[in-house]
Amino acid sequence: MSSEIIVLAFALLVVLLIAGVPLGFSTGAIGAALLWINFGPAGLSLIAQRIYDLAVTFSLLAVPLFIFMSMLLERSAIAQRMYDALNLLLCRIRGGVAVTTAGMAVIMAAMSGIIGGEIVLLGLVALPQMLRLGYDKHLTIGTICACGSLGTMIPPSVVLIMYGLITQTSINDMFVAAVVPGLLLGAVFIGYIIIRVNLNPALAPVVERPPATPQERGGHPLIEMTLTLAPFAIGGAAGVIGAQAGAEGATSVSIGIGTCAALQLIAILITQKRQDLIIAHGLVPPLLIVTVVMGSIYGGITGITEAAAMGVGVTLLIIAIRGEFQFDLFAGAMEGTFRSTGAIMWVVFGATVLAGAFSLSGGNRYIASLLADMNLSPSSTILIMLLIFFILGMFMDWIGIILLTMPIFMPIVRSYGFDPVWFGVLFSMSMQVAFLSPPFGSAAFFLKSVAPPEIDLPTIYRSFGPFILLQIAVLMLVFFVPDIALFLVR
Amino acid sequence: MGGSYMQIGKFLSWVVGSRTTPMTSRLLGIASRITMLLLPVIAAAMIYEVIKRYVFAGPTIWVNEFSVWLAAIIYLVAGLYATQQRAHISITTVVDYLPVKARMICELFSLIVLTAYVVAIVAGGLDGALEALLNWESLGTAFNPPVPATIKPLILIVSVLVLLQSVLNFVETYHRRPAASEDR
Amino acid sequence: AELRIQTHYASESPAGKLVAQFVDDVETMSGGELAIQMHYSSEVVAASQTFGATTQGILDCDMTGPTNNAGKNSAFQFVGDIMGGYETPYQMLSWLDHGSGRELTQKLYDEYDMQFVGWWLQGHESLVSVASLAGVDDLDAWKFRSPPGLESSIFASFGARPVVMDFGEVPTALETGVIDGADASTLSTNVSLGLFDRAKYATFPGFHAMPTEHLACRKDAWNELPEAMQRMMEVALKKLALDLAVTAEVLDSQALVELTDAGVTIQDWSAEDRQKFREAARSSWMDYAAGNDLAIEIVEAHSDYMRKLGILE
Ligand code: NA
Ligand code: NA
Repeated sequence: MSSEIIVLAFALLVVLLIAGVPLGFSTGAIGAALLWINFGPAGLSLIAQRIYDLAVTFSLLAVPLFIFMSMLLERSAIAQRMYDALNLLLCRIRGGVAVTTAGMAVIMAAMSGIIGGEIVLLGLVALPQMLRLGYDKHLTIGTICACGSLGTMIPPSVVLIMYGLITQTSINDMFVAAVVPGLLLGAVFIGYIIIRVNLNPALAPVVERPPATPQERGGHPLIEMTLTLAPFAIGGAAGVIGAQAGAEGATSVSIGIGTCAALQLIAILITQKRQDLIIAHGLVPPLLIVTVVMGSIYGGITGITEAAAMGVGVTLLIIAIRGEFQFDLFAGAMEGTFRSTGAIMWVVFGATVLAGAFSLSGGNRYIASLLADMNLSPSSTILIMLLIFFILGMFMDWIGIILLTMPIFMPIVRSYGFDPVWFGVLFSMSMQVAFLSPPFGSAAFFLKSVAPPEIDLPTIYRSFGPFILLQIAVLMLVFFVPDIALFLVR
Repeated sequence: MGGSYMQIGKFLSWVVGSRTTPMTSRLLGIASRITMLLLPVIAAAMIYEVIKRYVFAGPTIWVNEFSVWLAAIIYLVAGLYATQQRAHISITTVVDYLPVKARMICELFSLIVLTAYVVAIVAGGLDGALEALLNWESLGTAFNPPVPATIKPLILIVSVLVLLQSVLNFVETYHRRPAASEDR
Repeated sequence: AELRIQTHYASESPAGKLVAQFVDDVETMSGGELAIQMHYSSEVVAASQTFGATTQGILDCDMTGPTNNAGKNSAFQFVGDIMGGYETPYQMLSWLDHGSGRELTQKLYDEYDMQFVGWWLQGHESLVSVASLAGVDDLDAWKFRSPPGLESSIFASFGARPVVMDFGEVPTALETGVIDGADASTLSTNVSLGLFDRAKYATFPGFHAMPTEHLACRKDAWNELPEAMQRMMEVALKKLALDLAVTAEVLDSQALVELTDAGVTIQDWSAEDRQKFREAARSSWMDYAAGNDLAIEIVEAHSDYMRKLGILE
């Protein structure tokens, strides 16, 4: 394939996208045009073929199931109660509500695998509250969108699933490797918020404890927080130790849940405070969901797809036990899932058509030879690839980027002897940047859809600056120290 | 008991949709709502498989392929639903700032691109889909569901319907054009 | 001329490297006149759809396995893997020109306007198991990851229980006891797939499955080639077939040493057990071929040839 055709196809794609042609249709149509030009009518049969191949892929099924789980979570009171509980814990420290929002996002990220739901939710729950309390507008927006994007970085994640699927990398390994970098990103965001508000107290006023709380407690808020969260941490650790000690997956997960619940119960009995009950009520269900989904995967009980189904099951169960189950909630979640699935899958279809047309036309080899001719060192080649992710991330959706670039990049990455799992984590972190980068920053769109009118897109994008720098800093850290991602996989 | 009857009533009226909506979108609504019900069905089948495997140590031979089959139907019909709901992912950052007339041209342009895509899907896929359908091609496995025989034709049918729905969307946008201009 | 060909092997795998050698051989022999655009790792269409994509004109030739098409026509099973049949890859290859293999295979491929150029194959696959598999009796209640079709029914006739799952889930499934074992590939490939983390038994030398890969080209693309180029393709393919069988044997021998050192029990089935398996396989062949004249004809041709070689009574 000649360089003219490649440049022309890419330019045309950008034109179509800017003209508002849906992503799935633009990529598909350009793929069709490439096939027609290079192979005539016979080439067109590749289109339906590629769509079919992808549509009957088992692993892809995890995508709608994880979306369904997220939609159920959003519509139930589980998320709202978790927010209230965290707020109760943290509101008295400076920047506490922002930290609550970030912490909530991290926990939600461990339950949901998509981008969107969390940001919309935080935009509805946290945004009005933080603005009302006098939190800095930019800090608030940045926190919500950057932390809300973690859903696709911390497992489960549809980005990691698609990456594994397209590059033939173990999705399980991807889920293991992304945990630490994902949590690290969350920790860096929270650290940044705390440092920032302490340097400039005007950004975040200290808030009194909500009046609804019956009993005041005298301890330092950080100690209280530690005391309340400790049972969960110890429970989780017990599960991990159980797994390390060679217990079956199911056993170690039960150990984890059991320890967690027991310690929480003891804590409530000892302190005898209603406040703890509220906190437990808010935090136990989400952590239970995380435990079931992650426990199924890391405990080796199920594959990723089945774990998503388990997540749907346990979420529904909790909703039902709490007496919140209503047909409207269920139907709403189904409709939401169906709409998102349709939108995502047709982007996936379009991208697979374009990627197929591109590789059949020899475009992959052409780009690969271009990269080879640049005579760069292996690490610089990876940096160039990351740069390409950033640039594409400004204009395109993550699925499109995976399907377009991975067939070209992956053989190069492998031939240099780099670990595809590590590269996948780097990719996923680049997509965190892509969610925030204008003009196509999906995080911004999601927040805009629920934000008050005076918060316009330029304001939103301006708030992202520091967070994008933090994302890139952590990304570089994982680039130079691959073990941050890989030590758990080995 | 009364409560559950009410839930069933709610469920049925949810499936059939509102009588006031136009015929085409009502039919599409019914088809979509029936299809979206397959999602909890898949989740239930998979949970059944996990229970069967661990509690009864007897995994099934059908859940995996059955789920894939239903999922493929969901992906396709969901695309049609997303078209009706105007939920397909696109970059509107630039288009939103254009005057009404220019925006209509962009919409028309979008429709032309889609037409080209759908024509290509159908022209290229027709032979394969007919072959799969007429030979009632299945997966050739123990459970052996007719996945190619059903999904390959469905890809073409849904693509054409996506195009038709987009035409309807365009016509609707065109008629609502003055109101749209006041919105912005 | 230029040919677009797809293989499912990754370019970095041992078989993929030999495919690259095949491409280089053809291009060099033709003095650069015949170029091959090889698509590795099924990058154009799914492996199972390669044959269809070739007949439709997306690709010119298919270098995946014939058994992928058994859903279209059961006869493909018997030109792809006559399970429990031959003992060595060389016996299987020899059926083409010393039995009536080439002619019958072409008869099948004619129905799809495809030219059958030849076979290339690694050799017998090995079973991997968490429990001892010393003979047919151990197959009773053995839960294994089931590949589609013929194989499941042969194993089921010994009481084994097929479990359907995605191939990617096999290591996890072995880990958690969802399955007792799997038939994945050759011994050395099984090692590279990491199947022996939990499984401590393997059958070797194998007996149950020996899938072939074919080189099959769309007739109009093939007939456009001058005879000299056709001949170059045939010769290069024969080289590929020999190289792959030899390479696989070397790699398996190395894997054998490695696994024995690692404490994996290698189980070599007795002649009687192999015979029992072959007999069960034979009746499964007949069931599988039932209702398809060409499939029956191919099975009979195989049987005749096996008798001639003295491996079937
Ligand atoms: Na997540
Ligand atoms: Na972006």
